[in-house]
Amino acid sequence: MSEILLNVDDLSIVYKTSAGEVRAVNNVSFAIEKGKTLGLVGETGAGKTTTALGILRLLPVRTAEYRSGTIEFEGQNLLALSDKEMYGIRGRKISMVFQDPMTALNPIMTVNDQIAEAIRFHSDGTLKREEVDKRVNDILELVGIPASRKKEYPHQFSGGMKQRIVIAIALVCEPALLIADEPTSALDVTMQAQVLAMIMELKKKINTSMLMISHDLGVIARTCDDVAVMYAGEIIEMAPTDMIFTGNRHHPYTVGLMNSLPGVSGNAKRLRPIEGMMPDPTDLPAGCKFAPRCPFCEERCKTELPPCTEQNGHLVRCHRFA
Amino acid sequence: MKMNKKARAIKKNAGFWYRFTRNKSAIIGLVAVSIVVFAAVFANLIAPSEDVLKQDYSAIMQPPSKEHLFGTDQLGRDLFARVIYGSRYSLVIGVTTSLVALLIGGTLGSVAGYFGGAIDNIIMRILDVVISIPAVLLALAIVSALGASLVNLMLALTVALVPGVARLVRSVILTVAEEDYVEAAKAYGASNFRILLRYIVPNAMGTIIISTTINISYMILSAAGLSFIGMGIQPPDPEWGALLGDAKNYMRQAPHMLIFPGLFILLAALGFSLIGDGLRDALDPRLKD
Amino acid sequence: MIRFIGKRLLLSIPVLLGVVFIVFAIMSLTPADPGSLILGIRATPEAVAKLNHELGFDKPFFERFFLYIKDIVLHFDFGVSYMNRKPCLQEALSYFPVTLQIAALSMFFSTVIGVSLGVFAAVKQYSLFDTFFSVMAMLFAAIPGFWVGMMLILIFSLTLGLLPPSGVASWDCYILPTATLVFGSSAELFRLTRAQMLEEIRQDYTRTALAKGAPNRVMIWRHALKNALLPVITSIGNSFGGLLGGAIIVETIFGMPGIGTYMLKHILAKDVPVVMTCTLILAAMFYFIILLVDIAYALIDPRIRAQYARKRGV
Repeated sequence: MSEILLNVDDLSIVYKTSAGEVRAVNNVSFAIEKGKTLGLVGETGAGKTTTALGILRLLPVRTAEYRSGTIEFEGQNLLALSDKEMYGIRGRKISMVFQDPMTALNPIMTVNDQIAEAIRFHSDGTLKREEVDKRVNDILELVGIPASRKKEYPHQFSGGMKQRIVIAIALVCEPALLIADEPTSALDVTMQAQVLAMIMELKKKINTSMLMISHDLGVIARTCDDVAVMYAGEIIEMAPTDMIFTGNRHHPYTVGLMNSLPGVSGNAKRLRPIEGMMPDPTDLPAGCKFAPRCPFCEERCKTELPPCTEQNGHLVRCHRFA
Repeated sequence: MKMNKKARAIKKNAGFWYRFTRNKSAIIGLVAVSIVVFAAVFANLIAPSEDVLKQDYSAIMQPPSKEHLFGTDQLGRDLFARVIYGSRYSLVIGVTTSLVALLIGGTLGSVAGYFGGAIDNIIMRILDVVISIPAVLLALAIVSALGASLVNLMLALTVALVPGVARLVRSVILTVAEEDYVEAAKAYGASNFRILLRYIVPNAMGTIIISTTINISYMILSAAGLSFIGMGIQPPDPEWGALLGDAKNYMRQAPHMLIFPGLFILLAALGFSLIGDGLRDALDPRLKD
Repeated sequence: MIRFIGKRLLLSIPVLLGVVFIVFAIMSLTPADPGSLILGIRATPEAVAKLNHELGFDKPFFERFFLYIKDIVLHFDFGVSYMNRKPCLQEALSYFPVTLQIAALSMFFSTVIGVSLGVFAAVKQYSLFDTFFSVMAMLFAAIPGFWVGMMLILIFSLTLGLLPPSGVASWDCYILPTATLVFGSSAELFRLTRAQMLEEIRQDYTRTALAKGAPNRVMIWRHALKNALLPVITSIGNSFGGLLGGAIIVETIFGMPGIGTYMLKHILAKDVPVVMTCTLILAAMFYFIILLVDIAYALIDPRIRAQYARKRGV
């Protein structure tokens, strides 16, 4: 087994709101090995983005609270670091690409300045102007934007190009871990494939590990080594990618996800969407979170939290396989 | 972050009024404005109207007492009655001028901001000219030409306010017009007028409402200021600014003349700005998390 | 950018002409004629008519306007006062420095105080600091400036005897008038800055900045503040107009020989040329400040620059 880069253990995050406590992430554990890609899949509101922002400690300070767990990165617990130490991690060791490129860039700063800033934050001020310039040019070339346009402002670029710039900012310091939060969801389909291919190529080139967040199983299938399925703040199934898409030892929710996806489950049969809605995160069910929507729901599912069971590196949190 | 949507939805369901009334400062504002409105509407029940002008040379510049709650002025008139009746002037001036200016300025600003190009140029250049004259100065010029009276004062204040409102509305519209949902509406072929009315105006509404309520207090203050220097409501009419203009000359002997009219201007002006803030928070839950 | 500034300067000519026109039109609404004003009520109608004719007052409106403009442009002549027959411009300008000093000092202090406190309050939202200054700002935005002025005199001059209640004899005469204006206008800038900062801090791009390793303070001062300043800058420009207007009122409270005191005296005498001259000087001053603000805005925001470029085909 190769070296573990990121090890998230028993992570729980809540938001305190006037409507009550929102349990966004509940006892989540996963690990990413060096050079590997873990996919985090689930519907909107499942806690994927909260998990990602939680790793970078970018959650809103006033409302979000870590309830339990550790986030071990390169052997140190990120949750124990000082703010200053975190500045050195963000952008240098762990970078993030956000979902919406239209709003992710500062509208009144040139592209060059926004990329150069990322370099300067991590160069203790000794870097020469020309070196910064060169690195900006290099990364722009890598993401496919002519360096001649670097003095332009975000509003002068299309959505796809903006996302390339966001990726350039994220990768310019060659981080050990890249968190990509739905990096292509806001782009049009032709752009999606291009940008995705580019991310994967750059990932290989600079040998970075990746946490790929998506609700799109197609994207996950093409990019990830392992997949974790999230539901209502919990990881309910985790396995190497090929095992998620094959075999029959699956969490009913994962099965539901597959069935609501055209093309993957073969045959031209009717799509079968999952009935119902995700539970209210301020009032989660006591037992299995999926119980209210589960076709196999039994009495104990409603009261007892199902244990996680493993078989050949395939984790499932379901009473059926306990 | 995403989970907050849920919480937001809950808040939204609880309703605008619920959120407004949970805001402490909004309630204070509502109470303050209610006091002033109450005083204005029921002035004749609170204090006899003849007290406003009745002079009593045996009791000039008396400090507050049981008979004269706010004391008396240099002619022995009861300041309590004068201040209470004064609320009528401030309320009428503040609300009327702000709303009329919003109507005129808002129309000009949104048309200019949304259509841009030549229309924008023409409207904004004309407004540029008017706005080049500081508001108080413009109002002062108009009043000094037409003569000081209630109607002329209101006219002057409205004219002075319009360009500012138009500019603000235009800049808000410009910001909103760049939003994705406006692009989306354009894309499916919504008419300009529809986009303006259904998408841009509602999204610009928060800022506009805040500015209008703040304008009301600003207008109350400006009217008082002009009356204070003798360019608005004329004595013996008991407008608050005019009362302070009197008080200025007797600061040494009768500081109490200064206190109460000032407190009432504060009450009215503060009330409207607090309500404006409360409305903003209630209309825009985004600002609350 | 230079072309943009040049164009704005060129554009100032029609704007200032427009200002003259508006002020001229407003002032010609005055029901009284100069002849009877100058000669008084005991003058014969013939004498009044003769003087009106000499002053060109019997000519049609547009001809009078044209002559007025001509005198200004060719001879820098703003006419003579009805009251003392002195040239308006020279006399008005001699009162100008006091007003300008009050307005400029107030603008400087209210910007520094309002913007910096606004940023801190937004960054520390819901803290004691934020609550305290938000409440204070709320109060001071609603207190009439002239009332604050009189209260300051009452406290610092009449009761404590610390500062002079009137005049311009020494530098400390400017403290109370400036403070009077700063309370109100810094409160407004504080509220706007705070609201804008809260809005900007929630934007996605600030998260991007943090994600690339920006320390909190860099995110706030370099990213959020610059974006938040755009509307604040506009407001600073506009508040200068308010400060000029406020200075007029404040002068009367503190008995300072500024343009406001001068103007009010002549307004009461319906001395139209003087009122017009004062209004024009203050308006020109204000226009110049707004011009600077527009340039600053375009310097900071590339989107505005792009818009100008598009619109004017640069």
